[in-house]
Amino acid sequence: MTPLRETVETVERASGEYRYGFVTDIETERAPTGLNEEIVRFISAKKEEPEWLLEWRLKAFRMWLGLEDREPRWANVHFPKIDFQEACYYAAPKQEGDGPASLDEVDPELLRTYEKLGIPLREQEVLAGVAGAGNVAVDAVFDSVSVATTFKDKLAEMGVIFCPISEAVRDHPELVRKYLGSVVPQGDNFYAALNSAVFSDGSFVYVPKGVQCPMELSTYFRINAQGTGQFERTLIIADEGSRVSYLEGCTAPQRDENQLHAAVVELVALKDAEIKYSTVQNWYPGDAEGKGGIYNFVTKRGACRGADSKISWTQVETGSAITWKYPSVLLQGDRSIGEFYSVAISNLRQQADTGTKMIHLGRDTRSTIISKGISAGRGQQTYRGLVRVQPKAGGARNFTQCDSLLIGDTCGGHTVPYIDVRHPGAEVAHEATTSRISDAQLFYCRQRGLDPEEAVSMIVNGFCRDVLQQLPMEFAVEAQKLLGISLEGAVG
Amino acid sequence: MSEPLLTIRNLRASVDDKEVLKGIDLSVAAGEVAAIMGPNGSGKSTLSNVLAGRDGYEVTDGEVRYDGQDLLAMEPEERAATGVFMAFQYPVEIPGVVNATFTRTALNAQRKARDESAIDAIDFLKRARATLARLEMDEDFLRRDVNAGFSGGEKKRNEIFQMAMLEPRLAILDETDSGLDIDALRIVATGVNAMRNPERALVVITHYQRLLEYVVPDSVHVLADGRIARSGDRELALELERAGYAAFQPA
Amino acid sequence: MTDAWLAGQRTAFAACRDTLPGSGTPWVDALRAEAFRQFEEDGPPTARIEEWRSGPTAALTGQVFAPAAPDGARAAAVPAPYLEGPRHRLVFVDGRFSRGHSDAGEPPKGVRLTTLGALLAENPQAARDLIGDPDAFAEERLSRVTDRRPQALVALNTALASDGAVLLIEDGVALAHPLEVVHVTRETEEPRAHHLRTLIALGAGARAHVVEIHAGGSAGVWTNHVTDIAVGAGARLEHVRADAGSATAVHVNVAHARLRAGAAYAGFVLAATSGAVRAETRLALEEPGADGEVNGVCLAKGTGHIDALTRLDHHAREGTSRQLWRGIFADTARGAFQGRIRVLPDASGTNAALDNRNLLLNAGARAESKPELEILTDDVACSHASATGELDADALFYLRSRGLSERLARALLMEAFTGAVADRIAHEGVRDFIRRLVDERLHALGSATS
Repeated sequence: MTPLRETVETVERASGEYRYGFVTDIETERAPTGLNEEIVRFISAKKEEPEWLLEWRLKAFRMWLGLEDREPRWANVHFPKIDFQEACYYAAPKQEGDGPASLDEVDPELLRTYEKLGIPLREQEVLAGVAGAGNVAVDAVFDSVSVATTFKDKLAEMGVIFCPISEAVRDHPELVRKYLGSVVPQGDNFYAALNSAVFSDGSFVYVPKGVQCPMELSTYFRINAQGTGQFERTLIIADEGSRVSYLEGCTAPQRDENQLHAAVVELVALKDAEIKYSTVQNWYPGDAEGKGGIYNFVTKRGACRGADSKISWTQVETGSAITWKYPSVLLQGDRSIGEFYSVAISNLRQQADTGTKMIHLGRDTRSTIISKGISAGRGQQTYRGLVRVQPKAGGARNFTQCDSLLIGDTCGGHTVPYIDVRHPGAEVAHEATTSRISDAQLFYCRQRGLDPEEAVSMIVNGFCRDVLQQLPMEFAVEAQKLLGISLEGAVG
Repeated sequence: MSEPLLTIRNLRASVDDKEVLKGIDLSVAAGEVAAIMGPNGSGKSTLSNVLAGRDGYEVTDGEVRYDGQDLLAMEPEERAATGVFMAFQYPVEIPGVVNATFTRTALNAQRKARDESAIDAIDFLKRARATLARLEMDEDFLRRDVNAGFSGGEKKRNEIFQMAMLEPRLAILDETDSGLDIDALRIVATGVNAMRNPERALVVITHYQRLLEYVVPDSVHVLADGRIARSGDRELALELERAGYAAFQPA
Repeated sequence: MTDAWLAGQRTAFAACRDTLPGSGTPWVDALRAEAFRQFEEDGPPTARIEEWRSGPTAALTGQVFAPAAPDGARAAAVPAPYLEGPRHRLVFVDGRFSRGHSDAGEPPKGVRLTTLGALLAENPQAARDLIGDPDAFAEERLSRVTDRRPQALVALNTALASDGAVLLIEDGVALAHPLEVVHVTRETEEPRAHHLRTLIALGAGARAHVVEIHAGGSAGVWTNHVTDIAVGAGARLEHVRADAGSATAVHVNVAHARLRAGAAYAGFVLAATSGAVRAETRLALEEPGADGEVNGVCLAKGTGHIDALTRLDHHAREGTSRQLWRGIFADTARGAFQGRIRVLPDASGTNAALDNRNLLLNAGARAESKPELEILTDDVACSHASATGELDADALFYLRSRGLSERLARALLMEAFTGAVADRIAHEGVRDFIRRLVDERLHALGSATS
């Protein structure tokens, strides 16, 4: 049985409870609580970073101070003010001496955690899997530290670099220096500045010119330690004519407190390059009373730098107490293409304000936005998107379809698109609908023998199909199951 | 003779506090094809919806026995699992859900409820293809979303396809002939006739008698103003064709 | 700048509060004082307020407006009646009623057609019932119909309103002929502001068609016009607002309507400018079965700026609403549309749709669109659509292949583009007038670019 299949089955057995809520009992090394320049220096020193990166972080920290009281308030999410001095900004599994030289040196307790998560961390497990079950290279980030990366050697043969960003800083400083912060500058927004100051790890990918990355690259993120935030930083560069597909999955233990996850993801696609970035986000959503859960405040942005480049975001967002996330594309290169496919579920007391920005700068650039929002329970969900056509982007085209499905009369679904066109030769079209699952659909399914929950799950999956089919096969199956589970109890 | 498969006694039901069924008595035996005819507003659709268990129909009196069980006490999906199938007058569209997935999921949900093993995708596909061929339906049907963008005739044929795949013991066909041209009517009728066997009962609800030229009923019942006004054999349908429902309309 | 602007408003309020209608009546004085305090608290509109993010804030607060002198009625060029056929006509010049230019006709029994000034002088209690209790000012007058925060200009209007039309119709009475209200503003050397307040209240089952037209004006004129509307159960109001005057003024136009059970409001806005226009329509469908329709045509050229905003709030079940907006922007004009459908938790069975389309005629022009859905219950069918682009190339080619010049073909397509909206006006005479006006303005737009 493949690990991914196992995940799915674990999930299937779930009774509507959050199944990733276990805590792994391992020793962690933590920074003192609070945030100041000393903490930033502490993190940088822990990671033995070069001077330039320390300076980069400190600059970000000072920008963050300048942005104090500039936390985004425009989003349709409500939560008590976060005391940023109460959190811990660095927690790492404790290790003797240097980092693990191979998987065998990784704390077995950690490996067991990833097994529980169904992550094919051990290469042999993947290799032992059924043919076609997936050829996936995995980088696993536990709390703030990348603990293991698989398939490195095989990728290296093709010249593909896939490693923790901390390692990339050491081994490929010229690439990191050139691209880090080039898409999401340090002072971009409150959370991005925070991340830039204190990010501890994340994945780094570089695909050289003309290379089609031979396998899916994947990162699994897990928050484990109590009272910590997670601030990972991902940087993916697709050089000219290259192509890469990257997957990201997220879980966290069930805790009564809220935990902050403020990641930054930067994508750079050069001429003729293509990046496909898929996320299945299943952080702990909190309980039915809204207690606990992850605050998922994430800045994701890609730059189509070169002509004919393409960046495609696909996200399935089922977890987190609060989601604030707008994976965006800067369409700089002529004829470049940006895509955003999203399914987001807000059940229980979850709040999600998510969408995208498509900024058309180059000529004949194209973007597509398909967003499917599902609200149930006391969930509140907002699609917020911006499509902007700048004065030089003649021939730009955008099509946006935003559909909201409401289940029950105590939830909310909102659509807030911003469209700004400054070129007469652009075509921008936006359509949105809000409706509920009709009684007629439910009855039709039940007459054919499905119970109400199966019926809702089937109708919801149909509603989301346009997005789900963008996911790589294995993820799509997992995502479908997750949708069903996330909505359990939503039908009265 | 053993107990009929379906026995309806003094069934009364209201919609929005208005009584529509005013005491229906009707028995249908296994192997029988019963036609229920009646003018518009006589309660034909209400009867089929009550039998299938749709919300919004309040049963105020009477009982419905099906295969020795109290049908009205069951949830819609329980009724389906025990073999009650309704071919809808207006089949609903379910965008994004592929017909093959839908039908197989329904079939396996019913089998599971009956403690039968699931049909795998390959066996299902074989059976589905054979059924489609019999109904002169394109295989493309399996890949299309449930009823989405279907013509009226395609929707009705899809109902017959699902009926053939699910193999119910009691099938209620609610105005399946309405809106069909003559070719589609013939195909639908062929599909229905193929379902006739000694274990299965069919209740064919229709306004016109033309479907009954192809699906010859064993019994014909006239529903008027919420009651079975008259019962007879095939001759009754022909008589109605000639004389209309005027004799059954309230003065 | 905003400090000077605010100071200017204070000066204006101090200078004219004793000359405004109702002055000396304690509740009116209290209302105006409270409204001004509210205005000061909220401050002038800025782009940092979400509802004003695309608004003409610079045109509005970039010059300090003095209040209009109360001697306006004389020596003004008042246009001939716009509507053909039988009508009732009220004319205001520089914010004051002009009896000489008006022709109220003979409204049927049960219809009261008057002015704010006259109403406050003759029957302050009736006016109070209409306008509301000053103590409940923030709650009743602003919050229920609107979001309070961005309503500073409505508060300022309440403080400074110099006059306006008043139409009161009793239960079951229909005003067969349309009411034409014309606001003429004279050219001015120094920046001047005019604050106008229209009150319309329809009893249960009443019917009326009201057309409000702005004429005259020039750069340096700011009109701040608020129309307060109450539509009784089962009543029906058609309400048309149109710019027919100078296209260089700054014009803020706000309509608030509250709809009772089964009431219908059908609104149309024509904004045509090379100055600045902010046109708001706020509808509260407060009781079951109400129907709201809000349509508009926005035409801007030169450095013109139009910001159209709609807020349709469905409070009760089984309400329906439709919105159809078309914008054409030429030269370096900027056109913004923000339309929101909000369905509150009790409004199950709501059916609401919004459609916004914009054309940019040349490089330099800009169109912004923010259609918004805010849905808080599940039994709804709501949709919006927004499209921005060029004239359909296939249609253009088709027309040219039939022998039309490109210029004529474009004109024809633009006429069709806007005509579909104007055609939704129910009253034939009003519809004819608006179609003529739209075509006239379209022609001006076309000639601006060729």
